[in-house]
Amino acid sequence: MKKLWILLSVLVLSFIVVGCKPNEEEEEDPTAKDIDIVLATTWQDELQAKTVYLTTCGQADIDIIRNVMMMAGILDTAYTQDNMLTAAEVEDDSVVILVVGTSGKGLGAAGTNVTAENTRAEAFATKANSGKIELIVVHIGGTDRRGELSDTIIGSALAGSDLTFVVITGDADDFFTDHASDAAPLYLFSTASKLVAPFKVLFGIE
Amino acid sequence: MRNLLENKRTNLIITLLLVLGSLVVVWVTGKQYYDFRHDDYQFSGPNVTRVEKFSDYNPNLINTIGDSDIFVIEGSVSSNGPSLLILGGTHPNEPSGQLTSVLFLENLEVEVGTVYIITEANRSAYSATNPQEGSPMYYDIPTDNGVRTFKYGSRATSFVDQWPNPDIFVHPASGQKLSNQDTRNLNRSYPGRIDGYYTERVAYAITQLIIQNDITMTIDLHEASPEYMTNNAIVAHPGAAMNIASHAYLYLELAGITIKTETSPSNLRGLSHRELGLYTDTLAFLCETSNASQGRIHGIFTEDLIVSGEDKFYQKAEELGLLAARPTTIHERVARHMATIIQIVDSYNAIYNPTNQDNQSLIIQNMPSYSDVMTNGIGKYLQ
Repeated sequence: MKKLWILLSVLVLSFIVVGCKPNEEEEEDPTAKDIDIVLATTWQDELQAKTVYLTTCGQADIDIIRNVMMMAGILDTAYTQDNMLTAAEVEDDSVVILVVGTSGKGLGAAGTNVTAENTRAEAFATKANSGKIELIVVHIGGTDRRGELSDTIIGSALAGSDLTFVVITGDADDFFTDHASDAAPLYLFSTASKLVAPFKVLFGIE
Repeated sequence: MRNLLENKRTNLIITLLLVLGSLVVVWVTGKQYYDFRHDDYQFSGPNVTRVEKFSDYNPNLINTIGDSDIFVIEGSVSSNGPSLLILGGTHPNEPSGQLTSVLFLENLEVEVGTVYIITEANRSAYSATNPQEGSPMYYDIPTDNGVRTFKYGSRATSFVDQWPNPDIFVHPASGQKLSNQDTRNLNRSYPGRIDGYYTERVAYAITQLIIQNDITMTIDLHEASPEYMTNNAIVAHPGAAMNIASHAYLYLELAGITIKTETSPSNLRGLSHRELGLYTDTLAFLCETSNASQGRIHGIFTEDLIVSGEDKFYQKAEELGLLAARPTTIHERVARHMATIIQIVDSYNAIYNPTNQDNQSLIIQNMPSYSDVMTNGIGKYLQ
């Protein structure tokens, strides 16, 4: 009888433990504290002290990131936005925020194409790998900004990335996760608006 | 000889029966077509302060089917300030565009600024359905006051109103060559011509409405097939409109409404988001939602398909990951359009009047929320 009670108790406890286990598929956004610990020491001073550029390779979603930065309290004067910026135009020892993901309509609006955009992305990565600039790669468009048109450009940019921010729906196949490393950390966010927090940290905004 | 006569008589009887049968078919379908073309739905709204006509902006449309109403709702406190044009019914086979404009017409109150609402941008396209599509002519929306019936028309101007058409449509403003069908497509005809093809005359009237009233924002409401990439999206003219759309994207996302933004391409001419941004000072937007009846792979084309968006072939396509956007009910499609319009206005106000100066914001109210429409259905908010 005692053994039966022990067995039943173990079963009940097992159900409780399993039932209380958090859903591992539910990803949580990095907290401001998480971001702060990792980024603040290595990046905060850099963005405050250096020239910052905002551009896109793929011509998608850059205005959303500009609005994210506005929501973070970053003034337009704190950076230079140029959708067709080239690596050659970027001054040494600066920081480039590169929004990746391709829009066919965006390419048409800018009068460019995937090949030219990929060439720009490769040039930024090369300059970053030579230590002349810091490269922050941002992807917020989810699966819509992945696929044949986008992935080549994204891959080229990630080859030189020093820091990557991605909305998690774009990393369903671990494309970004596989490119991440200690030298190029990846932060995954549930939505684009969650990027307000890391941008505040990067620009030292309370 | 006798057999020959009998054969001739038999042939004559068969011929007469065929002719008679054909006449019956022609009479029945002709009457159906005539009745549908002349089924003139009258829209109105409790807060409309005046009604203008397209012919006020292009006299060539007087006494034509294209002389649509323009409903104007002026601010109760001040009509000065920003203004908005809600453009419904550009493509009558994309019904949430019209329904959203009707929802605004029948509920909207404007405190500051002016809102212009067009429910039937291309009235000729409401006079017939798309040939060979087998689509219903009407669909029903249940309301608190009974079932309300709306027309389901075609994408393009009727041949009755625009014929003959060139094999290749050369867009006059750009010289770009488009398909024959696009000669009758309002959203390939902007900025239009005062004395061009019928569809261009309609486009010209809308362009002049915007210019002569210096309308601040124009939002053209559409639907797309679920397999089309530009879906659940705001397409915006580059520059200021794109910035507002991007601001709206973030706030819609915070409200749990996922949407994407696309920049109007410079090499695709004749569309509202391209030409109205070029030829007027308006901030030009176009919104898309996902409509199964708009697509190519649906099954039998029923009223239910238009309203519920449910279709087993689209369900299969979704399971296989082949769709750009999940097909949705007409209630969700309207709720999306409505929430997007309201957010675009809010984003405009936030960007252009951050300090809340008097008469610098467009202040609109009395619209249901996204969740209201999703919970109760659009019929709850129609008269």
